[in-house]
Amino acid sequence: MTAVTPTKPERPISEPVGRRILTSDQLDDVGEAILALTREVYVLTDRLMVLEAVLEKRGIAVQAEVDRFIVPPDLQAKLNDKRDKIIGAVLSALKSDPSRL
Amino acid sequence: MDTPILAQRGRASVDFQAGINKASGMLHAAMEAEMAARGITAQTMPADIDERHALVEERLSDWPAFKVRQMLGEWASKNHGVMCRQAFEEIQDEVIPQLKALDEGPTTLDYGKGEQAPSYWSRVWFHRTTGGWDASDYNGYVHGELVHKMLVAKAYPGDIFATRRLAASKAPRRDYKRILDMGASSGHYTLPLAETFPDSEIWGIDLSPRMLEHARRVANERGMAWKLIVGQAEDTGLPAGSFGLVTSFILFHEIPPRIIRAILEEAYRLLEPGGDIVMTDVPRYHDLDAMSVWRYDWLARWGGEPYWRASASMDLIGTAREIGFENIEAFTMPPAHNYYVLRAHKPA
Repeated sequence: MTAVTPTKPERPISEPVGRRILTSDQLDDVGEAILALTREVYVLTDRLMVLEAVLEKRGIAVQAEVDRFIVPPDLQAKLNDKRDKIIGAVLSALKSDPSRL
Repeated sequence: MDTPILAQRGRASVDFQAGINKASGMLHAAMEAEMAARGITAQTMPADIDERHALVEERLSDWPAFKVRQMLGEWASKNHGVMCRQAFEEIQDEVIPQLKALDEGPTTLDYGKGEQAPSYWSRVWFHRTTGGWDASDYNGYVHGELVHKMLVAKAYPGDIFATRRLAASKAPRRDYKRILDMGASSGHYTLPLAETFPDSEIWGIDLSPRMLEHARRVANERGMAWKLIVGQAEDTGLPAGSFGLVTSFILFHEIPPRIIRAILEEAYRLLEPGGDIVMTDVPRYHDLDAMSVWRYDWLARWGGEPYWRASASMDLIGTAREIGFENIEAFTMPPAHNYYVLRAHKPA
């Protein structure tokens, strides 16, 4: 039985080699984008938690009530904890989680 | 003025900003620990402040958190005003009628004669507030009620409003007929002045109409009759000898030394014989160790404070003496000793 040496697949010529879209002078922009995204993630997390609190309280979803919801101290503490964990996760990816330095 | 009830997005965004500020503070503490580990201490720092910054940049260049700490500071500086303005815009339909109602009342606001603001003010976006103090119609409310009460008050050590009350209490007398607050802004210091001196006539001057409009709301809400003027503290146009106390709170670090001197000269002119000044601002660099100076200077560089170093390096006692003040005293205020008070007297 003759061993078949698998041929190395050729590189599709349609695929670029070593392409780098972003350049180092855009690093600050990337950092800003990450933080902007982090803000949005936190806003969404906050909204869901508040929504759950309102639903639990009233049994129905009332958007206006979410917007006027005055966060009680115990929920605020939970929100702050969640916020800090999300920020920490992003900073960890940047090798800068303040709780681990 | 009641604490505004923000809509969910605005409230969560402001909370997020506070979280970034908290993380920045933790990273800064970690950064200073790393500096110490790499041999940078108050004792080893160079005499020149720019060389201190260069040394820190060089020694921490390979420490990832150094860049991230700068990035967080940059983001917070650029976005805090924008985020609070957006939070205001979500509730403005409800809030603006309440604010308009407070435009009327016993406090007056003189918009001046439309003089052009000096370039040291008009060309600076103080604290990196996009567009400057007068960037939007309700920027006084945005900064007075949202930025200061929901962000600055949480980020600074101690009670920033108690500090203003304490500064007001440092005036040596309680029987001034007329008091001038230079750089009155949105009234955060004017209010404790009015409360500390309930029998005095309270005046305030500032270059920002939008900030003074909010000070007017603060006063009108309490039935107080302040006299507010849009104008230059160094050239008020007010009669000589017309005030018993001329005072300011954290104005000086926002202006160049030549204007600080002009303001002290104007204060002297405005004081009646036997009158007093109480000027509170940031600590003097010559009173601090090299690390503390670096720390203040670092924060000023990132926080949009172009005159901080020159102002904090100025000899206020010597300047006051040259102008003619007597009984000149200077001290810092507990608990954090991060405010410097210049108190002096015009000869009777």
